[in-house]
Amino acid sequence: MAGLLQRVAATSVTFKLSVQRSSPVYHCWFKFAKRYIYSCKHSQRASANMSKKLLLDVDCGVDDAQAIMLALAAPRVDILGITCVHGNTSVENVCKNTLRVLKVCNKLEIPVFKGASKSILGHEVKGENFHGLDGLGDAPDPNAPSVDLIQKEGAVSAMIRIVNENPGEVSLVATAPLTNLALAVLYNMFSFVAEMPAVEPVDVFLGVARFFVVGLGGMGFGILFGFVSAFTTRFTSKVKEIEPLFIFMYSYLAYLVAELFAISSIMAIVTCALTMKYYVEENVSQRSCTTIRHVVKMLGSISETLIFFFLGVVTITTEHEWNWGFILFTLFFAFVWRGLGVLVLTQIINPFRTIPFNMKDQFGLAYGGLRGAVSFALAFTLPDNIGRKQLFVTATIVVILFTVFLQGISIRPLIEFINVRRTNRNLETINVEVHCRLMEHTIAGIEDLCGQWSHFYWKDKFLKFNTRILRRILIRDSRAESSIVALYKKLELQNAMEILDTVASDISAAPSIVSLYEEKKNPKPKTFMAADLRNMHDILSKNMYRIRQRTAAFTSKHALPNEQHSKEILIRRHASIRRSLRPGSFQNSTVSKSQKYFSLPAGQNLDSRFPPRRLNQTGDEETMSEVGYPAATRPPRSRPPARSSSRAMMPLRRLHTLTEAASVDVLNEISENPSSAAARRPSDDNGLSDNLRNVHQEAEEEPAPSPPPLWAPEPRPNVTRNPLLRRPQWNPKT
Amino acid sequence: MGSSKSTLQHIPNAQELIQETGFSPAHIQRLYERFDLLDRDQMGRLRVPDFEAIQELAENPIGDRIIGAFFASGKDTVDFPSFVRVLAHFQPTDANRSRDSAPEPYTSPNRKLRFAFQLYDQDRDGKISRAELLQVLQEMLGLQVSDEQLQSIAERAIQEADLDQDDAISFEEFKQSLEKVDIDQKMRIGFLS
Repeated sequence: MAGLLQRVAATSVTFKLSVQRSSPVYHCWFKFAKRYIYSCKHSQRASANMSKKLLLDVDCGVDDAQAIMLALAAPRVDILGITCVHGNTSVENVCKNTLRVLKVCNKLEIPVFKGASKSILGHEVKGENFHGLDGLGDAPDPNAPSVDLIQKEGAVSAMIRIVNENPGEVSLVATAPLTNLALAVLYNMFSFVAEMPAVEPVDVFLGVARFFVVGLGGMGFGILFGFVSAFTTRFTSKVKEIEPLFIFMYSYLAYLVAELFAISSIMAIVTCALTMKYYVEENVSQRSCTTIRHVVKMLGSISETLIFFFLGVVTITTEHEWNWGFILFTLFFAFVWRGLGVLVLTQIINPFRTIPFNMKDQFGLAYGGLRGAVSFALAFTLPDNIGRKQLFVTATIVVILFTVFLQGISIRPLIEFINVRRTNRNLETINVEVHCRLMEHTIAGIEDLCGQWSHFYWKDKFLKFNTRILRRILIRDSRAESSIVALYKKLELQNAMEILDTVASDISAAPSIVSLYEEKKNPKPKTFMAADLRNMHDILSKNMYRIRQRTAAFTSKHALPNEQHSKEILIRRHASIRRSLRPGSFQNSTVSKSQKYFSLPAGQNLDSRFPPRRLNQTGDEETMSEVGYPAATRPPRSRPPARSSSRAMMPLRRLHTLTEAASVDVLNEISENPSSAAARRPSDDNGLSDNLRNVHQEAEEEPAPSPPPLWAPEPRPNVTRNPLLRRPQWNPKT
Repeated sequence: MGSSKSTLQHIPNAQELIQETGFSPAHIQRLYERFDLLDRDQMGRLRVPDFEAIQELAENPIGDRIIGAFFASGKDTVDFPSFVRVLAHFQPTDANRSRDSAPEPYTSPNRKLRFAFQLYDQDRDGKISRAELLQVLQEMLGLQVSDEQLQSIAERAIQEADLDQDDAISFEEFKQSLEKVDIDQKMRIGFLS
């Protein structure tokens, strides 16, 4: 493949005539160049360039003598040799006569070869009556050239040799019976057959064994290189930038080494990648993973594009050899074999499948067989000594174009028409994973109970081996990680990324949670508290300020505009802050976890005060629909948990002092339920809104005797002092 | 087995068991032999220590729950029919189609799911509460993860499955969350087919 690309590059830059002629694009250029050059230099060219090369086959009677002399006299004829055969007279006479003619014409340097002395079929035609007993009229010739001048080489082998030496240029002029020619053809055929190796049973067995060696050997090499690369990446924590390089290098190395040993390089590279993915993904950094993924995709696209580009050029420029029968049968058989293959293989694996392939699936699989780059490359790199290579290339191109264009374009409507069951890729839920794991354990236990094993045993054994030995060697810090935890992390990460995609403006403008986290690490509580508090004030004031810009009407005591959006911004902000303050919450990427809390502060029990339905109206649905919470199997309703982890309570208590978290929810509720808001006014023991109080009642009832470690509750007046943080005085009654 | 009828004589209620659970006589024979092997004091009944003597079962993360599933509530011994009835859950579903009796056959997906559900639901209140889920997760994931993570996972699991917002997973919700999984494939033991 690299060679092909090189040639393409070469032709696009220059068309030197000395370059090899095997590239089709170059072929095209070469033809043009040749014609141009010859037309320019036609008159100047020496006759030697245009001379015809002849090989004469004579049974030298009178007519052959004249033919020889004509040939010798022609200006642009080059006689490479004269072969003699029994015909008009015996072959010895023919040789002698030929020499005599050559001597007379003074051209004894032309080699004369002695050929067949009998006809193959046994027909004899006596020529003495026409040519004389010696074939040349029985004229006396005292100075006949000696028979030693006849070449030792036989005529047949000489013919073959001379023709092979000047391929495509020699013309055979046969003025004699074609015995020599027939013998030459037969000789060729038999020598080919004789040189063919005999096929013995051992060869058949070796052929079959070779299949397994090539296939399994490829896989073995792949796994070996996969392990080596995994082991390498274990130590690359200090040089993260070159991790992708290692991955590419090892994959390509697997390919090359397999090619070196003439085993399946494609299997090697695929198996190498499969093995690598599992171990390397844990060793390398996230960035390297992303880099690798993108670069590989890019390389794949580039390669495919280049190949199809080349395919197009070849289709247009080469001389095609067209043969209706061959090409149509090739197309037909391509379908037939693929269909058969799909049918047989699905019958084999269907018993083992959870969801077996039905007929529609099988049709889809069979029809979707597009041939492309690989088949073209294979056909194109056939060696040139295969005579019908051009036909093969043409047939391959036809098959590729047919499958890619016709099948490729028609498969989508066809699949939709026959309504094939599609894979639902959103199958992963934690539930399924947990329950499946439970069931596997159950089965393993029952099997132990009954004293018999099935494939679970082997799977279990392999997993144990993997954990105990392989992971220790190949992974940097190998802690056995359950697939449940891995799936959970993956899902959370997905959710986080989805949020960032949809709600980019808000979250990205969030103050860095990391800074808050770092503040948390500060051991000195006093400074921490003040600084942290200040941070919180800043954040909230920023947010409040933003809110104020949009909802200035709040302070003017008009009816609240229904600006869900702004509320959501604030709510999310608080949610994220709250989250950040939870100790240990940074191990999970929990940006998404509080999604469910969007319109509710964490740890509330709002549905005890407000029916969930109303809460739906406020902002939950917009929130949910906007960010598209992935667990879409259940209708997006607000879900205030009856209990929540005690830790979630803690920050709320702290925020209590700042009151802002609830105020917006207060607005929320008030906008829906103005009358009940007023009812909740009393029983305020700290000068704040009672709604706030009620909202946080659960929090306060939470038995948390020890004060929150990070903050001390600030006195209320501090809050009210700050005008920005004061809850807007909204009296529904007025 | 040609002479199956005669060897089943010493197994009490063999015919009824065959009818009820759908095992073949050969299977019943094999299970009886296994039962006999486990029953160390030859009383015809199994107790918890007999189960725990199987080492792999003792090492199984949810081993004690599996063992507990054999014992009907209140009893502390297992006789052969109960043993067989529990194991009948693990046959492949289609094996029983011809002998389908009016009550639900043992191998229906529903029964299998109910068996799995009962592994979670130790107090038999018909719901998997958060605490029970946490317990199971603890047993399965145990030392690998922190409590925080376990709680988050349990939280998320309940979120995903809980449709009626009662913060527990009922059997219907359990069934629905597993609707895309081929239960028959998962809860089946090959040699029983």
